[in-house]
Amino acid sequence: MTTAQPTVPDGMRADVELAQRGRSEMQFLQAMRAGLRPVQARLRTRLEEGSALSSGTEDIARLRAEVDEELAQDADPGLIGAALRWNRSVLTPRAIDAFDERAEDLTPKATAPAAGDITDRGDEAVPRYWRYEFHGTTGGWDGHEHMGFIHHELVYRYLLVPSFPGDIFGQRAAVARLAPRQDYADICDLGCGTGQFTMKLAQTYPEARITGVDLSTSELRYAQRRAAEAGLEWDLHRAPAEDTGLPSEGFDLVASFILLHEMPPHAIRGVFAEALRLLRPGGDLVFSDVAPYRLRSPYQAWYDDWDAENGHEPWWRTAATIDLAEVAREAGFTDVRQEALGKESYPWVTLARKPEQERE
Amino acid sequence: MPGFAKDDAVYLTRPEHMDALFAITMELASELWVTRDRLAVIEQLLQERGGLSRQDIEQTQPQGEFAERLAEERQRFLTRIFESASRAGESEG
Repeated sequence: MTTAQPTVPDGMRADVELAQRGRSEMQFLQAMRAGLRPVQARLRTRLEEGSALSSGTEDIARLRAEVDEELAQDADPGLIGAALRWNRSVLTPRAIDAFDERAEDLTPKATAPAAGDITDRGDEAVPRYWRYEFHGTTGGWDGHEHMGFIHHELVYRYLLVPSFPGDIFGQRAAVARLAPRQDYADICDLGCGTGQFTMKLAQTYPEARITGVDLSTSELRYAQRRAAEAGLEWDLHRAPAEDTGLPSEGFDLVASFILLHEMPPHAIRGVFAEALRLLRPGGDLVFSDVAPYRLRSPYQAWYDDWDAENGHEPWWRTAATIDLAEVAREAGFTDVRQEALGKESYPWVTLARKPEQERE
Repeated sequence: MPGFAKDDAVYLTRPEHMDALFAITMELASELWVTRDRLAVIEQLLQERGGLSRQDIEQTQPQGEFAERLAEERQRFLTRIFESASRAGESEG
């Protein structure tokens, strides 16, 4: 046997090797998701053969109630929910343990080259939802000095990439390519995390100066590391996307990927307003997020909403029911359009332009 | 039908009751899998090399057919746990 990593997903390090316990624990969590699929498939068949899904996706609360009634005597939702909740509650702690088990080898691969260059809006700008109602990860998104590395290199590699349908990094590249111009000079990625979408923006628009904004210090640090290893230099800034503190009209493209469903509706409106402020006249907005329930099949809409409840996604339902095109127009954008890039309308992309002249 | 579910048909739909027992079960299953994986690595290395060190076990990243066999065993193990739970209320007759 060689000691090389078996398969390295797009954009991940090839030299991340866990010890036996960490590797097998992470693989166990991955296999749990696969092991649940037969139970989930039977549940789906029962629902599609029943009448509960016929109420449609326009009223998600009603759809949930109808399905709840139909499944009142069905044990499988409880089983699947308990399994997913446990899986999600131990996922980050297991990944942290796996990292710590190999800390001597992995820390040099995780450390930011110039952490002091990451600018910070300050704790006073951190919104309430980040501390209390944000999509949970056990221990918090800054719960470990190298949480960015842990999430990108371990959680994504072992769980998210194998568990989610489609090429999740290819989806980010497709959204990056969707921006209408080819000659952007200054691009801002709101909610950049470890730079997964940022990297696709940088690769698609190699001449542009790239700025990434996020609330997690450790994610930004690993974004800086990833950029440096790709020979890139990004301006990274810790701040809420709706209140970046960055100069007005400094960008010709403001983009985001799966940020909006992590925040309450007033913050979503704030992000559009902030994007308008950050853009130069004529600049473009490209925001990609979860698919609206109304465009999903009834089963998928039900599952999205049910899964969000079991996966600590407090703002998924509001994000999947808000009219982002209307939010964009209310914020002052023009040329608003929306596009579904994949199966079941995901990724769901909202594109808009800042008017050349400010409204009177 | 063995166990508590017989006396409380809606047990599994009450996550507040379900989660503690489920967490214990999955912790035990996870530990069992780590041990099975470790044993499989030891067997494989012994077959390949005739002897091994603790470092060999820690550094091994299963490849090729061995990795595929482990993945199949893992999935079979987890599928059996969930199928067993899902079909706990079904009688054979």
